[in-house]
Amino acid sequence: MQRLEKTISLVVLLGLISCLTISYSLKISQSIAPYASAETDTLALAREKITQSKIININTASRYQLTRLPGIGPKFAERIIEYRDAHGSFSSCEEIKCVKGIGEKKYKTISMVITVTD
Amino acid sequence: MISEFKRIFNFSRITKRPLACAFFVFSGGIIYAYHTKVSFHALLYAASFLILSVFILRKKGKNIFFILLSALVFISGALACINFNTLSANNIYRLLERPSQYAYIKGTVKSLPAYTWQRWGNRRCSFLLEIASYKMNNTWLKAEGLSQVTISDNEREYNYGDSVLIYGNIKKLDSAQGYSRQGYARYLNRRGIYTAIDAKKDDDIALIGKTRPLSFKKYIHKLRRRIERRFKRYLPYPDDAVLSAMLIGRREAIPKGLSNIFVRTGTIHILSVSGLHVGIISGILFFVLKLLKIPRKPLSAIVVLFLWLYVVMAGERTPIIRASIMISVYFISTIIDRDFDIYSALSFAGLLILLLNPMQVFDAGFQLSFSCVFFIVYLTPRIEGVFFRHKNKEKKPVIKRGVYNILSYSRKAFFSSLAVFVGVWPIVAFHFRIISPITVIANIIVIPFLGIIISLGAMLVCIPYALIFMARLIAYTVHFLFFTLFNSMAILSGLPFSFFEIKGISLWAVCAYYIAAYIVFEGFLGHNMQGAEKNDL
Repeated sequence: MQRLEKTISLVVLLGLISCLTISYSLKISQSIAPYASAETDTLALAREKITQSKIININTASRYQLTRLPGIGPKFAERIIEYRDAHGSFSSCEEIKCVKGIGEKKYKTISMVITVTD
Repeated sequence: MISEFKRIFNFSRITKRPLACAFFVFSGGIIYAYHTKVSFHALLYAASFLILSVFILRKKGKNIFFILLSALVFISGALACINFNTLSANNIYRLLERPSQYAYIKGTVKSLPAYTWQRWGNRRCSFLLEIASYKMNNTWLKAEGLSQVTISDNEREYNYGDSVLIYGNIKKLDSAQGYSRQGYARYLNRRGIYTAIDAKKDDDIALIGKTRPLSFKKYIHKLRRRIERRFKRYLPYPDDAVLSAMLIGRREAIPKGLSNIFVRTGTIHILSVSGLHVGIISGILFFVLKLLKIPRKPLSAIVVLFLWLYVVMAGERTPIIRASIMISVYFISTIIDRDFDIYSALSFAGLLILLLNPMQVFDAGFQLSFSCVFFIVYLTPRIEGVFFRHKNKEKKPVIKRGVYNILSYSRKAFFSSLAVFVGVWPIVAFHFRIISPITVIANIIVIPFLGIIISLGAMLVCIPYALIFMARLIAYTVHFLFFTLFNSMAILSGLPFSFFEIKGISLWAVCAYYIAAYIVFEGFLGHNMQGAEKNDL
């Protein structure tokens, strides 16, 4: 290997190791930061739009519409309809916890997107 | 015997190619760091010690310098691996409190969305999302990372560069429920994707904005869509899907039954853009530009520029990048009047790819892409030499020149195909649990078809809308070629002993095979090399 080639190889390797060290240091020194405030209003509006489109009336929803609820598949949708047929309309959102299989955890997931009135 | 042993294990051939040496050592460093979980700081101390040693011992001899340099390259590989696998505190994978949870995530669409039709009639959409923020405990936090988004029931179209807010089930890929296919999770992890988001419908996604109109990548992806629509206009299904896969890398719409036929015959590589496709396309462009009498150096520059635009359009996958780097090195060597060495170009391409993503060394596509090229160049003359001794090229052939050329092509095609099979079957068996001896014959048939289909497909893209008659003529020809090709492959895959599905093969067996194979290739076949060139290893 010529002297110039040796020097270039060393310089390239040193540069590579330096870049890797800097990248690694930046990654481990990063901390959790809040998102820029200018954008949060836009996000709030967009979130409102999703929420509005997702709110489902559990007294009038079909089986297919109920499956759109997060964590609710065909089996749970069927149980909700069976409960509705047996006991009449839900008087409050919390009453959905009486359906077999829907406990506190699942209720927390769907509580934001269900309603009992139009 | 000893001299034969020295000839077989004469590694000065590798040390004469420093890039090849660097590639193997760098890969070794990556593999070592991944399996031993060594710390970054320990490696940094070792690197500092080695750098100091280089300065102190630089006049002691070239062997010591070479050993120290190799050790530094090894450590660089290990550092690159650790750095790639280290996630910052803001990475979405680390911000998630549970293995899977429902959340609001904001990000930008970073790939062309893929649409597939499900059995029950709804359309599924999937794309890559570059995450910008995540809502946790009623606070928006800055986040980063890539996530694979899937919308189960999709009707809306999404575009590259769309800024979206998604409400869905975000899962960590290594321990998430529903990802029982751990191989797929590992494949995504190697690409730097550690989470997946499942959204039920388009209502769960709100479009916030779009990227600036002059975004280069957005334009390229728009062009990709237009080409896809053009194929749909002139060709029936599945011809349009297969041509889209061959030319622009859109593989989602290919029927599973058809894919299986190509998997069994070992020719699945033609259904996606690979080095072969890149080579054919750059060859076509080179030929067309040469007809236009463009001088050599500007012509080379134009081909290189077009090649990299094509890489972006075809999806920036490893085999395409590998081939593009090698072809670029070739054309640049012609521009600057330097010799081209295929092994160095291959190693250079490998090093560049591993620098950007060290985990590619474990990827099947990466291993197969590089192995195929290596074995074609290294093994073909050795195998050919077993059957044909080196002939005097000055001697006039006793048969007509045209027939001689056809026989010569068929011979080279057969031995290249055989060389690739002998070289890569353990890698295919290890990753995909299949061995396809029929691939030797299948590839000889498939490759000429591929060349013609790609040429006609490129013509179909370039033809003006006004020349409908010409476009239809090309489309009918492509349809006929596909009909012949699909049926030929179906027949070959149906032959007895065409392929074997196996339970698996261990990594040790693969390594033992390559060591034994190297001894056979060098010890027994090395004497009979046909057409030895100065570039040969």
